[in-house]
Amino acid sequence: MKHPHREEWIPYLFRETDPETKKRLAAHLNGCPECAAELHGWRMSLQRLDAWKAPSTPRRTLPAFSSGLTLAAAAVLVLGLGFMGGRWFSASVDSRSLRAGLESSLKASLIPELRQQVRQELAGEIDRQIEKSGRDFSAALAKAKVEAIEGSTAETAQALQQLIAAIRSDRAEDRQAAAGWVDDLRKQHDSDFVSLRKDLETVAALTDEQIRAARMKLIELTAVNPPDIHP
Amino acid sequence: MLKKTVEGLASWFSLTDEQAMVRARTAADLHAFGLLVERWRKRIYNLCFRMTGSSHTAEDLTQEVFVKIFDRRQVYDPTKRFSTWLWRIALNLCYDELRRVQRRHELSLDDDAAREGRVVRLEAIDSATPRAQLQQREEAELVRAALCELPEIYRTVLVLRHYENLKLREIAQVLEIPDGTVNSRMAEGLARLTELLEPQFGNKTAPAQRPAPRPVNPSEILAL
Repeated sequence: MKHPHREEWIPYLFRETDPETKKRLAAHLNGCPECAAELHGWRMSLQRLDAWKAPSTPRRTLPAFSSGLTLAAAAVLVLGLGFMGGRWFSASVDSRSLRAGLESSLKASLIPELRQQVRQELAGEIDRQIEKSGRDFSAALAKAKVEAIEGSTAETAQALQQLIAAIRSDRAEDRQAAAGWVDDLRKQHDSDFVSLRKDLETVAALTDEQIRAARMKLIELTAVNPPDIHP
Repeated sequence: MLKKTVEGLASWFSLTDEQAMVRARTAADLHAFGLLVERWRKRIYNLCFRMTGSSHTAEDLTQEVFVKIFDRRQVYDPTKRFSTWLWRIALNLCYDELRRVQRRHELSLDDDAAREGRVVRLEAIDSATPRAQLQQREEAELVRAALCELPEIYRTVLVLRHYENLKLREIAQVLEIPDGTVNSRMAEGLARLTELLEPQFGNKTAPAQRPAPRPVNPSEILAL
């Protein structure tokens, strides 16, 4: 026997299947003790889940998200219906006392609500003012910052110009001093050159004189002792 | 009776969940949000309680769920059902909590929750005889332990369907999975639960309301 897939039993078990599938599965179940036993086990398990009860209410209350508006609306509705019903069915009702009763009831139900609303609006207004003050302060701070930056930028530019001028002046002085040193060096070099040339010329003259004297001595010696010339 | 009638009349004129959430979103309307809290607090608490097995944790998580809903009100899509969004957020917080507990190796499901479970059941049981009370207590503890032993994916579908009464299609929407996956998870979860519960309950005295044990007559099953 071909059994349905196990998943197919789930919508059937929870009564969420379409009539045709339900009929088919029921027919199978009628002739299949195996599937019937499995389904019975599941059903038993689901019944046993009920043994575990949840606490009736949470012990702690949640943050104050009140539902007073609903209750107030319900009170207004009931009172309104009562008022209309009274007007409809009983013309002899004292309208003043009814109105007074309605007013007091409405006040009693709506005053806490209104108080809460006013409190919230006040809190909202305070928050808005704080936020606005914060925005104004931020804008003023930003403006002051821009001005300070602009001022400091101008000062910085001026200081830079002064610095550039000072650097240029120093550089000119340095250039002048360097030019002076170069002239001095050139003069020194020229004078050294002249002095050296004179020395060299003196040495040359003396050397020439000595060579001439030596040649004269050789001539004289040659004249006194003529050379022995072999025939 | 009168109170129920008044509440019934008021519900005709009150906001739907989606309308209330839109008001909470656009105007930060605390009244509208309070309405949602009042409507859903108990169900969310129950879900957290079933998923974590601890009433204290469930209380904290319930509060956390609504705080998160309020914080994230701007991302709520008014074209989608509010309840689907709410269940999903609550479940995700439950999963986070279970993982936190697992990381800390705090087996609260076995110790703390067991103590709480006893308290819970004492609160829930009022008029039974002492013997019946004891039996109910034991059975509740067996069920709690078996459910907590199931992997999250199976526990989730079981809790949402059986305790929270969501339709299978709604469960698929909340979990963002196909209908077939919900069915297969449910079948596997039920099979495992039966494996866990059957031996436990089989060794105990059957409660008075318990149906006859196997062999099963198929005609009984048909009587759905």
